[in-house]
Amino acid sequence: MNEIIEQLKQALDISPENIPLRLHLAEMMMQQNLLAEASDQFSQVLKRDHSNAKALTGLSEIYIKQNKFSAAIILFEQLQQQHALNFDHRIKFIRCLLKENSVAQAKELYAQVLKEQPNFRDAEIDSALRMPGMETGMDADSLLEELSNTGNFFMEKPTVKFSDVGGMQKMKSEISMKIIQPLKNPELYKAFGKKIGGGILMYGPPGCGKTFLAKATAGEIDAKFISIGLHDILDMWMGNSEKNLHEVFKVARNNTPCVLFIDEVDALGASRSDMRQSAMRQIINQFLAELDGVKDSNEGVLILAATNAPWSVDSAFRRPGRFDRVLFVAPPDDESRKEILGSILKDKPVEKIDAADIAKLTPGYSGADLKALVDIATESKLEESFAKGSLQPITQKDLIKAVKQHKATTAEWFSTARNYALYANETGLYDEILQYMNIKK
Amino acid sequence: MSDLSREQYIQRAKLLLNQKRYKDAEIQAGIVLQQDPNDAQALQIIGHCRLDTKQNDEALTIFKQCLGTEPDDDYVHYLIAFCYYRKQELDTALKFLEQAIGLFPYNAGYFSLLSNIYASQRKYADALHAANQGLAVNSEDISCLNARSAALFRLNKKEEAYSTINEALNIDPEDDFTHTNYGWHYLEKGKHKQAFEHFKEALRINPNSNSAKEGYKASLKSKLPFYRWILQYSLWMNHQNRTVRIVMIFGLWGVIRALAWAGKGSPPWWKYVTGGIVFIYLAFVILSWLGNSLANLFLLTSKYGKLALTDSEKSSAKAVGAALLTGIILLICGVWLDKKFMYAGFLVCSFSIPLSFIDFPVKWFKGSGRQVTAHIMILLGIITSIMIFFNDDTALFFGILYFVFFVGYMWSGSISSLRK
Ligand SMILES: Nc1ncnc2c1ncn2[C@@H]1O[C@H](COP(=O)(O)OP(=O)(O)OP(=O)(O)O)[C@@H](O)[C@H]1O
Ligand SMILES: [Mg+2]
Repeated sequence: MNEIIEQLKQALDISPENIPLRLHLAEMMMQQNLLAEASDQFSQVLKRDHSNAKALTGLSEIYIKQNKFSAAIILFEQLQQQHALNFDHRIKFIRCLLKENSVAQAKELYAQVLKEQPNFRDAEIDSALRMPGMETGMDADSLLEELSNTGNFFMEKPTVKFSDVGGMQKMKSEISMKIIQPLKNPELYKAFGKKIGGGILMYGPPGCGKTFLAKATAGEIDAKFISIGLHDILDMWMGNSEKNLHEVFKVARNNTPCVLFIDEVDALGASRSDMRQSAMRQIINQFLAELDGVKDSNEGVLILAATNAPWSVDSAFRRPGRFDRVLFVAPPDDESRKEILGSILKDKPVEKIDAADIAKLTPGYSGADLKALVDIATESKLEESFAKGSLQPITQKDLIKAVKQHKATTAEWFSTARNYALYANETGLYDEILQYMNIKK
Repeated sequence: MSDLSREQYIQRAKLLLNQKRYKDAEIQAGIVLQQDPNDAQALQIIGHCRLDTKQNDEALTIFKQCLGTEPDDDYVHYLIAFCYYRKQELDTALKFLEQAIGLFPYNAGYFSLLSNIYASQRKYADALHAANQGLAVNSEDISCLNARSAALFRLNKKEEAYSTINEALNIDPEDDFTHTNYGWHYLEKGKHKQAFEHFKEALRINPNSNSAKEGYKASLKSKLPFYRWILQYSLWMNHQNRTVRIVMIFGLWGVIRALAWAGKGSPPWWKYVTGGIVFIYLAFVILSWLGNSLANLFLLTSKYGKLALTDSEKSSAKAVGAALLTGIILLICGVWLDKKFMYAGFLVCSFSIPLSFIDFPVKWFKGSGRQVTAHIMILLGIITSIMIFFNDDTALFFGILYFVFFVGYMWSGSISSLRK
């Protein structure tokens, strides 16, 4: 065996650009457990061809063997972007994610896997993703079952709390007053004759923590979190939807206390031109009926919704008892950006990073933008690591370079929102935007 | 592509396109394309997204690719025609549109585009005919009604035009396009208050409509009589054919020259008459260059106006204002101190004209030929006005250069505006 390896090496000395040959050599080395050498060969391939799937896979397997899970995850993510993840890789990817405590991402991927192969079971993954303390309603198995059948909504038990959400003081207290306190002290509210019920609609530029805050709300009160997103809503438009919508609410009611989160809620009523068609109208009516709790009470279900386009949200949604509190989620301020950066960089190899400094350089950047900065820096470091053959940590310089490459994505949203706030603000709905943008009318 | 079928992705993409979620729609259609790079439906959806986000060239390439697999699709022909219309390549647009209509003559939208193309070619009778054809297909088609009213206005059939546009508003009072259309008609008639109401309504319905916002600003500025006249004049000129416009530009100038020449050797009162006419002519020409910037300066003083102006409009207006103010101060100094100040004052005042043509924020000596020329003029002007105080010969030399550029710039501007 070693002889063959030697021969291959010599052959490669003569034609170093022969990628199939090099891959062959690397795989042989792996079989012989020559991990460091194999890793070197794979890196050589990647140096010549950044997106070589075989090399990325091989390297990720080596990293797993060396317990370098976060490095393996980065490679899997790249494969995922190239749509080159096969079933096997996904399972390995999920295991790495679990090792790194990225439960949400692991769950999402697992849901996909289950959709593809409903009968697939993996004891290790199952036990990690099975939700603790779920006596009422569905257990994890039937939930996963549900998922594998419909894939329409997902229930989880978030571990993030309000304290994980940087800034957003006003939002937190609003949510607390409006929905958490009534849940905890129903008598008090009844004594004061305050009506319980109704949800909160959050709006604002993309990536500023609406979804995150909704999750943290569930975590804060130790409740389950059920979410429906854009694609679920679209699929409702397309198919036998009303039943699905009813089922989501049913699952929520069976699992109180829980937070029911409807993301991109404007999609429910946004295509005005189609609204004349009764099928479309019916879904909105069904949604409103469920929201009002006509047939079944929504007690113990906290309803939150989010949108980037509040102007497209059907105005019927905002009537009293429905989403009667509409809140603007602004881009994170200096302090929050620092915290967000800190949490994103937590599991990454870094060197001498001053998050406060980066925060100062990035006014208007959303949480997602900050994540993009770190991604850009990671990518350039990855290439460098391949070239040098050793792991290169992210430095302050890399992040500053990324700031120059990636501009804040919230600006585009504000240029649209500003027009709505100036010209279509009869009810004062968008006053918070004007306030944030420092416009006096 | 694992869990959903092609059909479902397409359906999703269509819904997303309807909801104007272009990025999401492109992602869904892109998944289908990964399986079959020539899927005509997916391509069409992506092209549509590009068209709606004003990426005309990209859209055009994609639609042409669609045509490769589905050469008999009337809607793709229409979309291609629309791209060419946007690019103002009207003849090519007509060619594709005629094919679309030949394949399927029952879509009113095709005729409204036809009408708009004819109107751009200033063939108003044809435009009216096309709009009527569209209305024969669907008598409630808003875009055809709008095209019809526009054509009728140009053909000077006001009564019918107003009744058509009112019909459109009756059918859909929440159509921003109709309100915008109405607003521009009113502006052309000089009725800025009514125009303002319609633009306001159009913006309430669709706050991101550019045309409505332009109209909104124009109607606010029309409070100033001089701006109103210039706007009416330029709107009117836009709709005239080339001969009329040539006569207006060169003819008027010729008449003024002739008047001045004929004035030689006549009685003194005649000089006052011609002098007056020349003065009015010059004021008119200068205002047609500076009017917009001055009116923007005026908008800066009003609360709503200030909010409607873009940053670049604000900077431009301020620059023009600053040049005029500095120039006037120098002129006044000239009266008391030295004539040199007066010359410099004139010069600095004249900067306001190239400044009003320069795009802000300024990228010095970069951009289109006309931009760079304007930058050079400013530079020459500044050198001249400094040299006035140091060296007469150099000042004269640069001053002549500046003057040559100035005259060339203005005339070439007028002539190139004829071609549009
Ligand atoms: N205030 C915050 N504190 C901590 N992390 C934040 C905060 N805001 C945003 N983030 C980070 O940014 C990421 C993106 O935020 P999230 O998905 O909640 O945005 P969103 O407002 O829901 O965006 P979209 O409108 O695109 O759905 C989150 O995963 C989170 O990590
Ligand atoms: Mg979100």
